[in-house]
Amino acid sequence: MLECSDLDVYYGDLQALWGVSLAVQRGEIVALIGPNGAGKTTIMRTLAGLLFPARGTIALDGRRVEREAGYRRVELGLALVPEGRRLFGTMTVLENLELGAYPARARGERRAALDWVYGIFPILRERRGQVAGTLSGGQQQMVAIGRALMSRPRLLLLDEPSLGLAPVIVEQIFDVIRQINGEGVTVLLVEQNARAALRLASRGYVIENGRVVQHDRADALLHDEHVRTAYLGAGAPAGGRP
Amino acid sequence: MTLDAFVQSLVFGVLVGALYGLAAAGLSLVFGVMKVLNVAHGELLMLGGYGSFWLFSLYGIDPFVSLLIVGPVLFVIGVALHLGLFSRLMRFDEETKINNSLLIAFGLALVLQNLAIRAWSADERGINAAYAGAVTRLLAVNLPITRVLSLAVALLVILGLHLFLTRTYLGKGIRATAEDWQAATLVGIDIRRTYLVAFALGTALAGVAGTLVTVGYAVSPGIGLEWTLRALVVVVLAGLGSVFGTFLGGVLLGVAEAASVLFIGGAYREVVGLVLFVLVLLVRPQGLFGRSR
Repeated sequence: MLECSDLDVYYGDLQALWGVSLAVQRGEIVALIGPNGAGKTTIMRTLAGLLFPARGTIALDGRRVEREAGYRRVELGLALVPEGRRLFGTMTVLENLELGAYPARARGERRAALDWVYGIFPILRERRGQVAGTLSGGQQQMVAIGRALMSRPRLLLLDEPSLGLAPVIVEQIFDVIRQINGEGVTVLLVEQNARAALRLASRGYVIENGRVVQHDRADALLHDEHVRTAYLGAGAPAGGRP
Repeated sequence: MTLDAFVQSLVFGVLVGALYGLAAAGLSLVFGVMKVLNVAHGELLMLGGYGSFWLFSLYGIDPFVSLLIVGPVLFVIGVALHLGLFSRLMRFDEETKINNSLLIAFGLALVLQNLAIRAWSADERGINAAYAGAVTRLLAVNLPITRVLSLAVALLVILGLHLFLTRTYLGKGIRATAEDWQAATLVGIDIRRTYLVAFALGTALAGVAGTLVTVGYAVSPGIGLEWTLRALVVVVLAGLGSVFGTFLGGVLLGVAEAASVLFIGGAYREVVGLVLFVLVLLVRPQGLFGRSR
């Protein structure tokens, strides 16, 4: 469904990604793990069209999109829930969600999409008239995910959906990701919480210093020596609490 | 000073303030969405004024009817200016963008001023429609018909702008882009088109304001800077994010100027706006009706 190969991405003169290649198959949940500053968010922003690679290709269902503007990729079925949520803070929950259905493809189905999102996050129906900037962090994350779902994506990119949220909310968000995936949405997930991400995912990529250093099935990564010491807490049993 | 004179003066303040508000609405839209300060806004307003002056003196078209021509024509001019001059700035970071846009817009202002002197001479022009001098009296207050009509038009345009920005997908897309262009891209908004529409709409608003200025007062090639400054004062006064807030800010400035003429003297009329500008920046930098960030 998504295939990118040999991506080099720069911030000005500073190279952030070196030859990053990764693939996501239809129906999968794939996790990107790695330390802060490794380039995980840069990968997500490049896939979503907020950054453009100097070299390399991105293909969405076989169609090359690395030069397409970000808004075109939404039209093609890709949606990113960005790090830090990036809601339209002065607008209401409902306005945020409706803007999620901005692409022509999604606009006609926005009633159905709205019911779908309210079904996943019932609290958003109650809060629909509230200004998004005044919601709690967890509810804001729900709006951010809901806004992305309003475009009816086939591929959902999630950048640190658990960042700064209480454990009980994090669990709820992860359940929702599983549910959305069960309804046929392919998911690419960036997470600090490597253990939880790898339990959710079928495969994972380890990103370090702007490169893919390892990729494997998720359960193999959970038992991998390097991954366990670096990202799961040295010596902790793989079955322990996240 | 009698009470009548006082009320009369405030009413004139409201009438001219409505035009300040309208002029500022266009500047505010462009600045809010593109983060570009178009210091040629007053010159675009002047163009709108000469547009309806021409339509009236050459073809006898009523100035209020000519709005239907001047608005769309200025919109198209806005499209051309954006594509030719400003659109290429949009990919730069905010600081480069604002510096370069100031230079470009300042150059544009000079060019438009000199073109106007060539085309229409440096003389002041007005529009003397048949009803130009007509005045109605309401409770001992004189109400010049043209300025009252102008107030009504300004209110209608502001209402229309508000509805466009809050009720249509394109309008919501413009507000979303103003708030966070990256988030706007992520929900599928073509922000380059948003910038284009915002700039063209801002230009059209300047043109409409220019027509109303010409019909109620006068137009000359040099009025641009004065109107840019006033619009800027109103934008700072009112803050970004609310169309009605901007309009109200304009009315407030108009009334403040009128009051200053009454109590201090006409020489300080323009100073009052700049004093308000500094005061608001000191006390409430997000503006009276703006949202703090």
